[in-house]
Amino acid sequence: MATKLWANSGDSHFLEPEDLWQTRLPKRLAELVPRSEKDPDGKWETVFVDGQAFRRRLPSIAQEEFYAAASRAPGAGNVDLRLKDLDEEGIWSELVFPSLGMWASSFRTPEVLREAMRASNDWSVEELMSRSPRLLPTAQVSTLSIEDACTELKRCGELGFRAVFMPVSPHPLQKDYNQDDWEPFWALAEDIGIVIAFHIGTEPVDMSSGGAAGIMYKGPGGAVLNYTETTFGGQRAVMKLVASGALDRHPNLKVLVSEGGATWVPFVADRMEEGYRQHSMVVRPKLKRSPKEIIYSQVYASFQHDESAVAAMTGMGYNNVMWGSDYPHMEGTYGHTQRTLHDLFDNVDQVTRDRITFGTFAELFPGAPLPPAPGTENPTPA
Amino acid sequence: MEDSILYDLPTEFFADMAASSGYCDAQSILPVEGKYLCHCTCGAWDIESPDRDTGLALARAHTAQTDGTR
Repeated sequence: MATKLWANSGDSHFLEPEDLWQTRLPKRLAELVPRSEKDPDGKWETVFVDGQAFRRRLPSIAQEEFYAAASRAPGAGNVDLRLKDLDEEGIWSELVFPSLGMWASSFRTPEVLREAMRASNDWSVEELMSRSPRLLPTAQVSTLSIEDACTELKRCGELGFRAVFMPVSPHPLQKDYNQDDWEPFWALAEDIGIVIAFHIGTEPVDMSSGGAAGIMYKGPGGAVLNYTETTFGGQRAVMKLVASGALDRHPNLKVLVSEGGATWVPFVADRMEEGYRQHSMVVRPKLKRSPKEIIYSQVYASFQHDESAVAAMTGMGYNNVMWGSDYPHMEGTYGHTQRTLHDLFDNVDQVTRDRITFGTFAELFPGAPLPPAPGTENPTPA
Repeated sequence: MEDSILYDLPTEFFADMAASSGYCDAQSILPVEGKYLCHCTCGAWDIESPDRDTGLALARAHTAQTDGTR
């Protein structure tokens, strides 16, 4: 029997109660938060969001069963079952992204979004953070109002959050991340030591146009094309923070891109380095450090299966590589985490393995519980 | 825990809508300047409605009419 391996995860998700916002917001606001209703015939579903409605034909029963079986681990929405799942899988501490919060860009009313984010953060403190030190939930803030985002981020810092989830692009009605409007937010995050945690695949949906969601492929290859496409938003977010000078101005600000792989980081660093150097006559703003130096010191990346990710560290000199399980999503390692960890790390030196499985996580989140030693079958609860 | 579309990314929900263009697989009812613009992915149903619920009722009527014609 193979030695049991343990790792911390830089990418996990929790399914909050579907009625979290309805039960915690005042009635006049609760009526506007996203909710879904199925038609009595079971063939159609309507999602109501902030005065808008979107109705779609439901997937077939076979499709529903496939998605349910593939993406819903027992502990997806239950802390006790989750910790059992994690023990079984060999995952110790994890950065936990929201699920409902991914709908934040579909709100149109700043007050509703502000109060929904506040309610989600309070819930995360009560139901995740206080239940186990192994669970590090991400804070959530409005990207519609930067002023609201700063107010809530400050509060979240005081509540003990270590990272804030940010979609790879801000709300469709807000300025992009490379604009100076965001400067107060980056400054505050650096000041209170909160990591900016981008998660791939979180581009806002432009509801006003009926749901255009950026590049969308149809026809042959569509499934793989659309999945691969979700990766690029995280890279663009990093490029904006580097080229605009945000990370240069805030050298202690750390950025994580979860689920996006790792070898893209050296690639993007090289491309930005060349652009900065070769186009220097038109580059604004000028940076105190080179793009590559900024990226290699302030940008972190998590992956789950990518065979090449380890080589980003061993072959390309990029040290901020972090493993993540993506629990409980179907793209993640639930059910085969041990096989994945052995495949990735059995032929890797211990320094590299330790760095990727818990060292990078510990650097980003000092004090988070470290995983048990390899071979530990029944770990002591944290 | 009951499965819900709200546990999936919005992009997945709207990807379904985008991918179904040409068929009556999804409709949007959106508030614009005091009225609601209603659209179906079949491309042959674009109407205005005085309120959201009326728009939804009209969407149901539209798909009831076209169901079975795919």
